[in-house]
Amino acid sequence: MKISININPDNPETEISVSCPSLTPEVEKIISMIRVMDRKLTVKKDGEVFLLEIGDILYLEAMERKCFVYTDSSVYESEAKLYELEQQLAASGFFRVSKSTLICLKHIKSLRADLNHRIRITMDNGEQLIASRLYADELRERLGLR
Amino acid sequence: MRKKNNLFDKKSASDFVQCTTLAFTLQTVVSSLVMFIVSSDTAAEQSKISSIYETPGFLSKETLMQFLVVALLSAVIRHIFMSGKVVKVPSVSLRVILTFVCEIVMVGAAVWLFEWFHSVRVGHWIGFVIGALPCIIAGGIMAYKGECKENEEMNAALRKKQSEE
Repeated sequence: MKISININPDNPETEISVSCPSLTPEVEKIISMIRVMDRKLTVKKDGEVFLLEIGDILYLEAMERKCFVYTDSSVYESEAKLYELEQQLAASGFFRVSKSTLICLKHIKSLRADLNHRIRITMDNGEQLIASRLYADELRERLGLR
Repeated sequence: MRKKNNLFDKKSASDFVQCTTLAFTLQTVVSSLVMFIVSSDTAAEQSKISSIYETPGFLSKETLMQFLVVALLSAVIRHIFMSGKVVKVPSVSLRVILTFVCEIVMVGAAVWLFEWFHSVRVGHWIGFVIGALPCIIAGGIMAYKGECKENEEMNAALRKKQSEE
């Protein structure tokens, strides 16, 4: 893979162009990572590709080797793995609350202590998620309660 | 869309048991002391007779002290397994099982050792449990208030963090 950087003070904004013989999964992954930098995530729904604003994402969930992206009213599928998205979205306020779930801090509506030291998380759209015991402790630390 | 989790929506079992244990032990201490003060050797003799003929009677001072010791041991066992401070068992269900197995063994040993079959009747146990109910309810209320406070703190910290970010 060849990488060329052209620094030109006359350019009004940063522009990234990708030249490739075909759209391979590797190229798609590179594009997806660049999109995250632009606060956008490439997702799919019913065979169509969408560019989702990261701010609209409530949480992400891995299920049966697939990664689903949940917004207020829709569910999309992402090609990326959950751990990759965790790394990419960490700076945007996303963190893990269980082995298979990443949530966005700003979209949490309320928290409630649950049985067995877990935390029940109510999202902005009313959906409830459970932070497992291990991640509940991390969440408490993140909130400055420990 | 994702299915909503319908989990058992109650206070953490460890906190609940700790509070009820505290309430139950206090009730035991108070009731045992009161009964200890009012009981007499005559009452002890009457208890012995009444246990044979199944008529109302009083418990002896000795039996009441045994009751107290057993109640305190019960509280100690619950603290050991449920609090997570002495023995750290990750699963709540395993904690509950361990607690109750140990309590049953301990009470069984007490019944056999102190010969409660002769000195304590079923009526005494029923009265004792009914007497403890208000304290258990109070323990439940204490646990609920504790839960509310924890939730308030957690949500306040969440709002603060959200405004910061």
